[in-house]
Amino acid sequence: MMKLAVSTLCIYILCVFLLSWALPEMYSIILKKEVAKTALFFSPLDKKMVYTEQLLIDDLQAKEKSENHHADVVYKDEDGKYYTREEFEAKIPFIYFRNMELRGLFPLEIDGKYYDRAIIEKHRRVLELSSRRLDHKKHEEAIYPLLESNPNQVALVLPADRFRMTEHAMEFIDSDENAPQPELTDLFTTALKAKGFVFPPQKVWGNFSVFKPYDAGIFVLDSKGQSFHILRKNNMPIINKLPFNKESIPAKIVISEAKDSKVLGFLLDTNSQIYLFHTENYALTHIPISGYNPETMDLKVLLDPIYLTVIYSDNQNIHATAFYYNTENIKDILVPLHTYNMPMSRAQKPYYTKIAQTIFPFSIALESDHSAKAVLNLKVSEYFFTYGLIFSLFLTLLYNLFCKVKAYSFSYLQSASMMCLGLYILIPLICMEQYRNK
Amino acid sequence: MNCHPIEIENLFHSYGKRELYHSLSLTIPKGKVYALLGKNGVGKTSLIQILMGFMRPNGGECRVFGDPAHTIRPKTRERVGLLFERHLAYDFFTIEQAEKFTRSFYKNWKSDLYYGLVDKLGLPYSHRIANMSEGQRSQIVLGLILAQDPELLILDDYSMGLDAGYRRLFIDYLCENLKDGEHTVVITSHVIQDMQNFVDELVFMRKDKPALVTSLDTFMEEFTCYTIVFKNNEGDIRKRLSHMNSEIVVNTEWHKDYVQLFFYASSDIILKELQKLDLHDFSVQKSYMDIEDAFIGYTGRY
Amino acid sequence: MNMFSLSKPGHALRRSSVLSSIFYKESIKTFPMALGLFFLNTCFMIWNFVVLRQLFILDHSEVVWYRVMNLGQIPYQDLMFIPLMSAIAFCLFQFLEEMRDARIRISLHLPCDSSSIVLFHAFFGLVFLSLLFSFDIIALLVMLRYYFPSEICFSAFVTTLPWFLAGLFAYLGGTFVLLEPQIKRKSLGVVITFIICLELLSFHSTAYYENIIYVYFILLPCMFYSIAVSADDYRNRWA
Repeated sequence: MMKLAVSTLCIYILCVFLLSWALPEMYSIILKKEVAKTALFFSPLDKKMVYTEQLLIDDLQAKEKSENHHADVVYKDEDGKYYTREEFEAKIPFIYFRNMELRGLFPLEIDGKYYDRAIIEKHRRVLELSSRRLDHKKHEEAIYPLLESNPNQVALVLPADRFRMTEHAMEFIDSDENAPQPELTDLFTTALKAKGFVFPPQKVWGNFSVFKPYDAGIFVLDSKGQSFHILRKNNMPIINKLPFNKESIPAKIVISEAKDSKVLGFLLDTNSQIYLFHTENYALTHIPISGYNPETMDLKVLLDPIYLTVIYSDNQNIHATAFYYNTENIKDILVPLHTYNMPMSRAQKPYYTKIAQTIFPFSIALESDHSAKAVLNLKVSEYFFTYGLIFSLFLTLLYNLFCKVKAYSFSYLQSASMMCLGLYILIPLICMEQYRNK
Repeated sequence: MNCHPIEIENLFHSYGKRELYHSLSLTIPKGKVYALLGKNGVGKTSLIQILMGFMRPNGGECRVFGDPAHTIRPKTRERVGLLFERHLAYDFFTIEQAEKFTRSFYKNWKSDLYYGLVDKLGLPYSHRIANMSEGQRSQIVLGLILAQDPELLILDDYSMGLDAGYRRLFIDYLCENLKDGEHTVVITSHVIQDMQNFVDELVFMRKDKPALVTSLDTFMEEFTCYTIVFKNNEGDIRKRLSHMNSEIVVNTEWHKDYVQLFFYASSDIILKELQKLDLHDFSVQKSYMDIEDAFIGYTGRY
Repeated sequence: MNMFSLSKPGHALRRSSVLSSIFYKESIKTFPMALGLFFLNTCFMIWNFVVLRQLFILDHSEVVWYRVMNLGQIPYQDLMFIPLMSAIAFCLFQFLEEMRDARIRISLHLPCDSSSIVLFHAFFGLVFLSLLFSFDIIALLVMLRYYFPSEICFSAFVTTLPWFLAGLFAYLGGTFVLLEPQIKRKSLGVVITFIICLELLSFHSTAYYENIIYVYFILLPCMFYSIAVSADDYRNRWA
């Protein structure tokens, strides 16, 4: 009997685990509308934030401004004023500069200065770091290509070798032979050690692609927390130790290789502070924002010819701070100009979300917005102690009645488990119960 | 505690609306050979399924050596040799492998009994059971059961698919090995004549009627058949027979020119009953029955 | 074939001797299927190797490496459903034979605990499938190692592990469903097995399940042990 009880318990455990994933997932597929995050920008014309987002709940004014079937997309500013799509694009001309050009609006005049396509393209950068792209949240093959930064041709080419960082060396592997290349390994390892690099390294960052205008090399954090820049030029190593102070140990370096750009990317340090990372002398400029948590938030840094805007958001709220910056001397301290926070439309609770929160006491999600790998994410319903309990009570009573009609046994333990686990236990209970021996 | 090999108390079971057993009670004591007899569908195999815990009845209790049938302990199962309908066997085994597999489960395994029976087949031990005839397979299965040295043997329809020779071999082997007062046997079959010298007690199972438990001798003594020839007077005889005491008439079989009346009562009572019917204008004769005639007479032709 | 030694009569029946007896029987019964599956899996692996080789013939090695290491191409994706199909085929072969004329009653009447007998049958299947899948994994890793650095072998192992686990779950689920006589419980078994296989076979990216694969290793014994319920139901069927 004991064996049977344990075996039955195993079935209940399996059912609760699997149904708490499958039922909410199925419900979402059938009813839930997935909306992207709100796109928030700083308007250089109005000096305030404007945004566009997809709506979960109908908005009549948005409909009035909408184009045909795009009635669920709203264009607004932080004061609540609605725009049409074209009006919205005109508010952020540095973002939609190609449309501005097409509409014959160039050169743009902003605060007495004129901007044409060339100026905008020169200064415009978009740098992003989503929480799911953090090193520990995605799988990466720790064997990287080190591109030739002087390829003697327009297009970059993949090298016939890759490197891995071992305990004692930067080991190159030839892809044709699938075997180590001792000469190249020695060359780079010796050069690294000569610059004070201490093996084994902790992290390797780079933009491992040939679809970029040039190759800026890779960045490596050694075992002592020192950062190094490694470049391969004419098949020879060029190693530079980065002059970061000891407080700014990088947690992630995001690189965006754009020709003639003064900005190489940005750096996130271990204290969740972000810095603009300059091409010249590897200088860093602190971007003073508050409340940014890289584990749960996606970050976007937008640069245009006048402003730098940092936008970061979790699943519910979005924050943005615009800074004025000196395009001639970009290393100047950044001064915040305007900050704005708002809840995103995806935080709204339409009827189907409320129903889901009522009928599912909790759910297990394997996918996460904050990880590129599967995670075990247990979410307890917000209505668990209110509508959720009422629904569970209703199910319990209904099941009790069903048991009486069918002459099934029904225990207090079952009632308690139904109050806690709701539908997830009701289904296996119905399937597993059997008649009393008459 | 000494328990009877099989005890059935107030057994109820039905398939949907069709009632199979209604308060069936039966005790099978040690050392006896019981035959469960009845036409197809009266519940012989179902009773064995219930006894061996492969089916749960709607009500009542069945015990095997004191264990409730649906929770028979492994120790008790070791005392029960079970032959499934159609001589079920793992036919992917060879003769040798079947023995090797089964013997590992039984403490008192008697290989000589198995091979004694198998040797009669004259097949090599590497012969696969799947390639055997029904008769050959029945000997393998019987051998496996006998080698277990069980105290209780339950043989479900042993005769199915066997020709007269194999049936005789089967029964002879059972007689030689089990009629010693130590072994209890429950056997079901359609072929009753083979059992004449083997069974002690008969359990007749009939649709919608209580089971009859009796010894073979008593049954043959008290079960009587009278034939009444009516020629073209069927209406009259039907009318007269309708006044007969139905309690003593077990079965009535109508033929073209005659009717057979089967009684289960002493001859005095039967004669008194026939006299009451005033059948002097008809030819009334007591008919001789062998065991098969009696079986069919009791259970009915269809 | 006779790789399992059996206890001699007279021995007290221990769990290990029952296990070896069941393994003896199952190894004889499933031998043709086991051989067939090893053959088919070997054929598939050879074909996979040919496809892999073809990649390196059609493109430069560094391009293939780039596609696999940076663009997420999986050169062994065809393997995804092989464990599932192998497991279902083996389960059907192993248990349909027992279901034919309810032959499993022969085993259930043996003087041992019925649930243990059935669990040992399922355990045999798990052991066989684990051997078969180990063969697949080793073959895959050897062929990958021939063309790729060891990092790819590790990620291939982590990527394919859920597929092999799906095979084991499908086998156990199939066993539960085949044995279970009650239609309600049978349906529950189908649903559980379907959901868990769906989870494990929904492909997202390389090594996607790396962090949570342990959960399925915890659920596997639960799935295994749940077969005791269907064994008990089979033994005590409601007519």
